[in-house]
Parts: sequence; C-alpha cells; structure tokens
Amino acid sequence: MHKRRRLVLCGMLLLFLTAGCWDRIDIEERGFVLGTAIDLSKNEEEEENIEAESPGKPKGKTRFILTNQMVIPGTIVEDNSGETYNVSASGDTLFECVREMAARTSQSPFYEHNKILILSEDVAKRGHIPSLLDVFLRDKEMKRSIQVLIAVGEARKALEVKPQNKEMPAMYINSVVNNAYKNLGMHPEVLVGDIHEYLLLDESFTLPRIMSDGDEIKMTGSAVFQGDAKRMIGFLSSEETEGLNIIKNQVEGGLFQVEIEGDLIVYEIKKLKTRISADVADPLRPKFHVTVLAQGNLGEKYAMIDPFDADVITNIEHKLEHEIERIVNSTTEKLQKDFETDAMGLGTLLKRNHYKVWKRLEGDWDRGEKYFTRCEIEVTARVQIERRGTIIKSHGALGDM
Amino acid sequence: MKSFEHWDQDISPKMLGYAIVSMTIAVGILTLPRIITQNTQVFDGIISLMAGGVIALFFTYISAKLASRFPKQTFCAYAEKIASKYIAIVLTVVFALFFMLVTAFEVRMLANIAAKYLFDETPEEVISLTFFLVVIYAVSGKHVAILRLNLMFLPIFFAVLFSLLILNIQYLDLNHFTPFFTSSWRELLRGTFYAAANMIGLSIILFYVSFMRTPKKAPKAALIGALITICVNMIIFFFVVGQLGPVVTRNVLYPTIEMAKETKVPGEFFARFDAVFFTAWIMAIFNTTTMSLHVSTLAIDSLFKKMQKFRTILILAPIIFYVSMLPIDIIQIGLITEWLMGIGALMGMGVPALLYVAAILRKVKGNA
Repeated sequence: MHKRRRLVLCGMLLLFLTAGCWDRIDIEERGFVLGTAIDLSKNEEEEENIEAESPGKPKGKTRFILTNQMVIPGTIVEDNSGETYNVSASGDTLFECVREMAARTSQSPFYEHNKILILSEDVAKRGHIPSLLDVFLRDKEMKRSIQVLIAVGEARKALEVKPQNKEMPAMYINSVVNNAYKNLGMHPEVLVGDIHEYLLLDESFTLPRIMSDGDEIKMTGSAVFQGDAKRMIGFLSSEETEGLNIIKNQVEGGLFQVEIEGDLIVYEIKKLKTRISADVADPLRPKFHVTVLAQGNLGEKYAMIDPFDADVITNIEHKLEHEIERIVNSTTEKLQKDFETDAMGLGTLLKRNHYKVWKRLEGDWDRGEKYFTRCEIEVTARVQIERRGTIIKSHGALGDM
Repeated sequence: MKSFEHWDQDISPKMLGYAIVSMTIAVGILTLPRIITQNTQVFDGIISLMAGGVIALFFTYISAKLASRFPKQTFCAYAEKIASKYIAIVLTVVFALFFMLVTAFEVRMLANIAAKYLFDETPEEVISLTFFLVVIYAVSGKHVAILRLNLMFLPIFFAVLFSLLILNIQYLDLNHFTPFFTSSWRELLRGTFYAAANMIGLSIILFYVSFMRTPKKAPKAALIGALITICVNMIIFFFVVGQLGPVVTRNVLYPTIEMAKETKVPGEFFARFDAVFFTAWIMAIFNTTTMSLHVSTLAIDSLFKKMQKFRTILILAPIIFYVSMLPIDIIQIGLITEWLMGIGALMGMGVPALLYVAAILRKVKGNA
C-alpha cells in the first residue's frame, strides 16, 4: 500500500513536469512572415520624435524601414493563395524594427518560413548589405535559403503587388524566378547563403533586379555589387544580364532574335554551354577565351526564307553567332569600362585554374590597380539549329507558289 | 522462457565495433568540418582527415592488441602487471577523470546546441539535467544493455544521416573543391592533429575488451569500427564543403546543422528535415555520453573492490553535472574542447602505445 502511494505521487509529479514547456507558442499566435523588404527611412519628423523620447540613445548610421509580409492564418488554401498584410516599422537596426513591430501587431513575427528578402536600390548603393544580412545569417530562425532581390525604387512596393491569380505576393515573387528557363534576361535566384560566401571571399557578385509598378512586377536585369566596397555599383539591363548569364554558363533557356532579309527569325535555345579558358602568358594581363556553344530550334519565322535550305541555315547560324558575340561583348564592355567590377567570375576562374597567377593579382583585380579592366576577353560563338519546326512555310509571298 | 538473469553478459566483436562507432560519432560530426577548414585551405582538409584517420587506426589496433593480450582483465589489473601498481592506479584515475570530463562536455554541448536551435526559452541547465538523468538511468543497468542500445540507435542514426546526404546531393557545387593543394605542410599537420584527436573516444577499447569472450577478435572489430567513423567524417566533410563552400564552412559554428537546415524533401510535404536529423543526432550523442559515464564508473570500480556500481554513479553524477555547468559560454566550452582533444590524444594514443611496447619488451602476458 505504501509503495503504491509513492508511485501515484511520482506519477502526479511527472504530470506537472512533463507537460511544462518553456518554448510553447500557439500556432495562432505566430505571425508567419513570408517576405521581407528593407528601405531607407527619410522621415525627419520621426527622428525628432525619437530624440525627444530617448535623448541619450546611441544612433546608427541610418534608419531602416522593415516591412514584413505576414499571412493571415486560416485563409491559406491550396496553390499558395491566401490573404496577407504588410507591416512596416522603422529603426536603426533590424532588431529594433522587429521590436517596434511587436507593438503594432498581435502576432509575434516568425521567420522560419520567410521566402524572400527585397532590398531597395538605395540600401544597396549605400553599402548596407553586409550589415543588414548579418541578422539573416546569425539568427537561428532565419534560413540560408531566403532569396534576395534588389528593387528599383522602393522595396516595399514590390510586396504590394496584386497577382491576378490571388497568390500571396511573396510566394508569387518567389515563383516568378522559376521562369528563368524561359527568359534569358532573368538572373537566376541568389540566396542569403550565397551572398554570405561572396562577402567572405570579397568577390564581386550580381543579384536579380525586381521592378514593380503597382499591380505587376518584372524580374529581368540584375544589380552589380563590387566585392571590395561591398556596395551596389549599378544595374545591368535585361540584355546585359543575358550576356552575364551566357558568360557565367547559367543559361537554362530563352531565345535570340536575328534579322534576316529584312525580317525576324526566332531562335529557341535548348542548350547553351560556355567554356572559358585563360591565357596567362602575361600574368598581369590575362587573356580570356569565351567559347559559347548553342543548340536550339527555329521557333518562329517572319522572314521569307526556306529553312530547309542548308545555305540559308548556315547564314542564320552565322547571324546568331554574331548576335551572341554582340550581347556578350556589350556586357563585358559595361563591366570592364563602366562598372570596373568583375561580376562574371573571371577572377574566381583564375583562382581555380591558375592559383599562382591569381595570388599576384588578388589584391589588384577589380580593386587597387584594376587589372581586370585591362584584360582581353575574346568571344567566339558556335550555333547549331537542330529542329526547324513542323512546316516549311506558313504563308506565301506573291509569285512564290 | 529465458529470464533476464540469463542474458549473455559477454560482448561480441560486433558489439565492440558498434560501441566504437557510437562513441566516436558525437559532437565532432557537427563541428569537425569547421575545425578542419579553419586549419587548411579549400578542400585540402580531406588529406588531413585521411592522415588523421590512418593515425587513429594505428592506435586503435595497438589499443585492441594490448587489451586482448590480457583476456578478462580490467585495465587496472593489466596495467599493474605491465608497469607497477602505482602507475596503474594513476592511469586508471586519469582515465576516470578524463571520461567524466567527456561526459560533462557531451552533456553541456547537447544542451548548448539544443538551446541554440530548438529551445529559445528553456534554460540550458534544465535541458542538460533532463538528458543527464536519462543517461544515468541507462548506465545504472547492466553493461550489456548499453552496448545493445548501440546496436539499436546507430542504424537509425545512419539511416537519417544518409538520407540527409542523399537529399543534399543536388546542392553540391563542384567549384567549391578547387584549387587543390594550396595548404602549407604546417596547415595540413594541424588539420591532421584535429582529425585524429576528434577520435578521443577510442580508449574505451581498453575497458570494453575485458568483457569479451573472444578477445582475439577484438583488433579486427575495433579497426572496422574506427574505419567506419573515419569514412563517415570524410563523407560529411565532402558534403558540407561541397554545399556551403570552404569559407562559409569556416565561419559557421555548426556547419552540418546549417546543411541540414536547408535540406528540402522533394514534394514539399515535409519542410523541416533538420528536426529529424536533430532527433537522430541526440540518439547518437546519448550513446556517447552513456558509454563515457559507464567507462568512468568502470575505472573507479576497478580501484575500489567493494564499491557498488550504483553508488559510484550517485557520487559521480553530481560532480559531472556541476562541471558541465561551469563554462559560461561557447568560448569556454571551446577551450575545454581543445584540452579534451589534447588529453584524449595522450590517453588514447600515447598510453596504450607505451604500455604495449612495455608489455612486449617485458614479455608480460595475460595468463602468465
């Protein structure tokens, strides 16, 4: 009897001990953050307010506005559609913004499902990226697989997009990048973890650009970052991004258009491989040979030509080769002459294949002496047209029957 | 029906192998990629891991040879035969203290990592106490039970680990492996030291072989066990560096966890694979902690003939728990790690090698 009573007592004690949990948060109380946007704050009135409320407080270099897109639980249905709301708060640091936000929403923000981080052009150009990314890497709630984008203008505007299919904006933006296989001018996704690596290596890099006008977004082009200053230098246009994608061998699909006999021909890329070799005979002035190999189909034809004539095809292939060379050259020109930034990974290529040469150039590649701006880049393209479609002609010209 | 009384109390060679793998797979699989890349360049760490592995294998063989020379004898007993009574006592005490420190370290490490990634509010003390109580419970039973637990937990851990790695093949970036051979000799040697010292648990061989009915088979089983851990470490290193890149690996506290955090299961019906990995890893570290506490009680019991095992545990447990809570933060824990690696290398490699050489020179044998 005595033993039994002791057992019961132990059992009751266990009930109390095992049911306790310090870290319990009900799912209704979690504010699931799907996307984040960061802008610079330019509100002077607000700064005066802070000065009045807490005079002795240490001030940061700038004030940021953090915008979180939160989902309303219970409205999520299949296919990523659901209702969301955006909350903004400002502060000297991101943590301060979050704290400020806690005073405005009932749910505490939960970042483990965050998909995208959009930074405004100004934030990027002022060189705030390294310090802002710190918390995205340091905090255990953050994933390294958050996708980073640079917005033209204000970043939070992009989160206000209203997709036609009622998708949640952040999820919508997150899935647009998956279309990179259809559009050559889209920069492939870059994750927070990737940027961590670039920043640690002092490498120059590019991020996808996002443009928004109220209801729609467009995700072509890219933003170029200088690895030494760690700030954004400028944007590459859609076409220049095409060249960048070709050089970096990250083409998944897309098309080229060339003019032939006064009208257009569309070439649909099936496979595009780029190989770069470096000639380091003169270590201070390495030469790069970029060889592009493209395979693809004749997609659409406006010009009056016979696609089953071998000469015509050779002619088209030559035109396409020139077109690819032109696109790539415009990109290298821009990066070498205007931006003076090696965002194409040529330095990395030297490091991997010619380590000794790289050791000499390392400090003066796209910084210091800027040897990068003086190196020669030679582009050769080789194009093959494999399929020509299912018809010979779609329409006839007069007297051509 | 067989009652529990008649359980086979002997350790089979297979169990010894499992014990060695379970003992050497611990905190190291989370931190080793970082430690190795901090000391070497790019992917050259794999050379260090290989060299360190060969060294560890050599001393595993020596330890097993030494212990199997004296069948059914405790470490204290055969150390006395080889050297002298005082040396035997001193060595046993040092081993006991060393394994107590290992227990304390594992308990604290588990609490620290769990607090960092899983529990925001729960104090580390509570996490470690809960864990440590279960460890004490396991050690209080028969010694065979602990070794049988290895047979059960280790396959689960490996299943989870390898599914994690398979899911991560898609993230491997071959560019992370070049350029080769850019580390200096000194860097490689430092890497080799850490790779070898990571196997600090190896000295359990000296204590567990005495439970074996066929000690002759011990060297082979021990070698296979150590080889498995070395291969696992190399595979993890390959995957972590391949995915995160050498510089990021160098700058992330627990690179293996970071890798697990990004794992996506195809079909997206299950987003958090790291939770599964954590569970499996806690099982692995549970085995390590249990065995190190067990070995320290074994060492102490061999000194005091009349000591009851449970009483030893009751005395040791509060001390270990107190020690485990002494370091304030991760920096101090890191310092202790360095110490542990140093002492571990000395005790797990130096001591058995010296004893073995002495045993051969003085022609001391178990049954003589």
